[in-house]
Amino acid sequence: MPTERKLIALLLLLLWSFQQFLGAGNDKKTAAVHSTGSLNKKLPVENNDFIYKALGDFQSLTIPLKRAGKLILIDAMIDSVAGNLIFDTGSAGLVLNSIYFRSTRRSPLLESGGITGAVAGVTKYYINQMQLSDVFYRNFEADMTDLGHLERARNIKILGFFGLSVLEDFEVVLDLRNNLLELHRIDKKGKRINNLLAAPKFDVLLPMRNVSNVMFIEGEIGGKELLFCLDTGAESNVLSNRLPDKVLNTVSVSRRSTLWGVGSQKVDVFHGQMNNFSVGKHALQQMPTLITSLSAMAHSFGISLDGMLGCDFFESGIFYIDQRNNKLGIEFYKTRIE
Amino acid sequence: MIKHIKLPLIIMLLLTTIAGWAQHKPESAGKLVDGNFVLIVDLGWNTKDQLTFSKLYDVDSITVKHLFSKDFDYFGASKSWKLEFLGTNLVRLSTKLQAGDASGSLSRNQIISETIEETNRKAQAITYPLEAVFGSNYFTDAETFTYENGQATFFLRGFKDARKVQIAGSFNSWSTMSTPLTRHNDGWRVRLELPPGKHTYKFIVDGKWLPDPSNRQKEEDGHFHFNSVVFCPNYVFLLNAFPQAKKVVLSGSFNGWNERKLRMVKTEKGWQLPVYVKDGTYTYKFIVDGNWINDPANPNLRADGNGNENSVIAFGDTFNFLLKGFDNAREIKIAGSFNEWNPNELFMTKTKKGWEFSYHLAAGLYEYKLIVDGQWMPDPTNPLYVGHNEFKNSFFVFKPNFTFRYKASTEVKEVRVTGSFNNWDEEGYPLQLVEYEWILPYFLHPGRHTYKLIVNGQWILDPANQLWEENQYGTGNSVIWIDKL
Repeated sequence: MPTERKLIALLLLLLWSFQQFLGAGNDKKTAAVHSTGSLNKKLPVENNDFIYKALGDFQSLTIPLKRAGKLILIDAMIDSVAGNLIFDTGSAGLVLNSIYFRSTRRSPLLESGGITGAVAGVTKYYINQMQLSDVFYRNFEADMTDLGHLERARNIKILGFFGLSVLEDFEVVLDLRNNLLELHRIDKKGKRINNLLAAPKFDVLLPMRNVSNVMFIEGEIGGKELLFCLDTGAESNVLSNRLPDKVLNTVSVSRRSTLWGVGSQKVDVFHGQMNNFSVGKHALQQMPTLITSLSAMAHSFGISLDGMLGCDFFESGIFYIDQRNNKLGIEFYKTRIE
Repeated sequence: MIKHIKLPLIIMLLLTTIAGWAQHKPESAGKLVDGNFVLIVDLGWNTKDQLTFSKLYDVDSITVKHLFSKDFDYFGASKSWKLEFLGTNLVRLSTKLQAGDASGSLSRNQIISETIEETNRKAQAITYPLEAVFGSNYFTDAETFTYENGQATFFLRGFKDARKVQIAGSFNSWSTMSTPLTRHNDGWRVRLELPPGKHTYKFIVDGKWLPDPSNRQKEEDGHFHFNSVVFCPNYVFLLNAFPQAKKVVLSGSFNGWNERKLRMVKTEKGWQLPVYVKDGTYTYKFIVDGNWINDPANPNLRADGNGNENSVIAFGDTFNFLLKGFDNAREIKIAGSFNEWNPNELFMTKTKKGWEFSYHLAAGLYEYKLIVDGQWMPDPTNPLYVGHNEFKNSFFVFKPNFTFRYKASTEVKEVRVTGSFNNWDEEGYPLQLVEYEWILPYFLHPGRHTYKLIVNGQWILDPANQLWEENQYGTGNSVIWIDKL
């Protein structure tokens, strides 16, 4: 009998060790994938390459937004070129569409410009003046990229896109139900200078994390805390396909497409709905989402992210973005429009 | 007893089947379960459902064929799909999610393009430009919109405390910065040069969008609100009679012979209605207090095939086909892209100099052929043609709005143009050498176009156009925007 007991004890010990081993593996996986609970940690200060200095004689300004699909557009005049800029919180600063700002001409008979077709020395453009509604910016440099694919997809003239850092002198209020962007000048503490306006009433107030001038917030799916970047450049939301099963099991899938990804490997993209998503304990039912690999995105941010919240998310309420204190207030619309 | 049980049983069975069927439509077949992509498939789906299933979930046709022909052995050997049986006709198809380090990943640009694709699938993107066949206006306050000699005046009553009012619409690429209204005693006003046709717009009062409060005609803007719709008229229907009538309605082929919508407005002499009508030929009648009459001022009538006649009217400019010679021909007809190549419709008339034919057309490029005594041929008097041998068609451009140009030199023997406007046809359209320049006047619809010139067979960017975008070959395509109709 003692031998049998020893054997059972040994088996139990082995089983326990094996479970520990598995558990350690799982923990490791979770730690690698998620950075949850890290929003309140002190982070190293990011160095901006350029501080966008906004000029304009106003304390508060309402800018009408235009929409192309779900993309958010603002009328702009850059030097003498008029057109639309995409408001893209997923990008750090201002990037211009090279179609309209090339300073050198390509030889018409040039057979090929290499893989990207880019001509050396035309990746930056010096702007004398940019006007966004009644806000002016002077004498600064912007990166350039070819946005022909977006113009073709939306049949609209796109001068470029800009992120939140261009509006860092303001509290930014985004109201997509009414297609408005409000800018309120703020003091050093981030408080509105215009004291005639009633203080907004948020349903939730969330901490934001600034990584390279892109904002991240926490959300929850299936009881799991997840890290999302705020990305109005994406028309829909996106979830990482590396999330734990208990998260992905809550997602319904209505379509799949296969693309060639970075490094010429096939990548599945699932299209469906998040059925169990919430921010600040406020549930948002049936939000459209894509599910795919975000590892290339995570690599470019230098942070492991669980998802992106795009225009579909921003259409759920009025968003008050306070970049100085890294706070995001949301006043959800009372009725939902499909 | 058995008979009594049977009916409820059958109904229950039927309901269960319907419920089961409803739960397993292709659109709701997918889910993610414990690291697997899972599809619940009803093997009883019809061919249409099978096709939808295949397209939605990117399942290859061979897999679909084996699945629905119930060749389950195929899945025993399949490396990608695992098959399980859930019921008589219900199966669970699953495949592992590729999410490891070795699997691929998408760039942010690719992800954004996918989100755009998804929006496009769900909702039809708003088309540009606005093309309407017919329309009239419905303002509650007659002063708020007037249109004379190509000049449209918009007036927004009130808003005395506003700091700034703008108008944005289809006519200014929805610019929110370029078209301010000026303040007047009782409101805000702007005068714009607008072509006849349909236009949509909104006012912007201190940054906030406002559909025109006095315009009852509106359409959804695709983003929770409405755009105001106005038609700049190009014709006024007049009925200088029946001043005592209570109600006069205009009805015609341009509005599907609707008997109510187009109520005419009383004038001193009778009735009138300013309208926009797209280029083309239409038939119509007036309905005076319920009685249908032809236009007494219009002598042109056309039989409707049922023993009745309607007034007929044509809008737009006419293109004149002129053909010299062919003195001995008995009959010459024209068929082309303008009449869907109908060979028995358009007969040329013999004149002293040759043959001629006039036809109402909208602006555009048209290909055509002559049919001389039953024999199809390109127009020998027209140097512009595309294609070869029996596929050689003559073409012409009616009311061009853009000219492609290339500088002439002794080395240049041939210049052609091709682009998004002709689906990048490899042959393209030829430019003609006129003095020191190769030219092709062309009609481009409003919106964005990309193109290349083909000079002596070599595809090049247009040296006269600064705008170009990258293409898949790394050689670039020239870009042009046409803003107005």
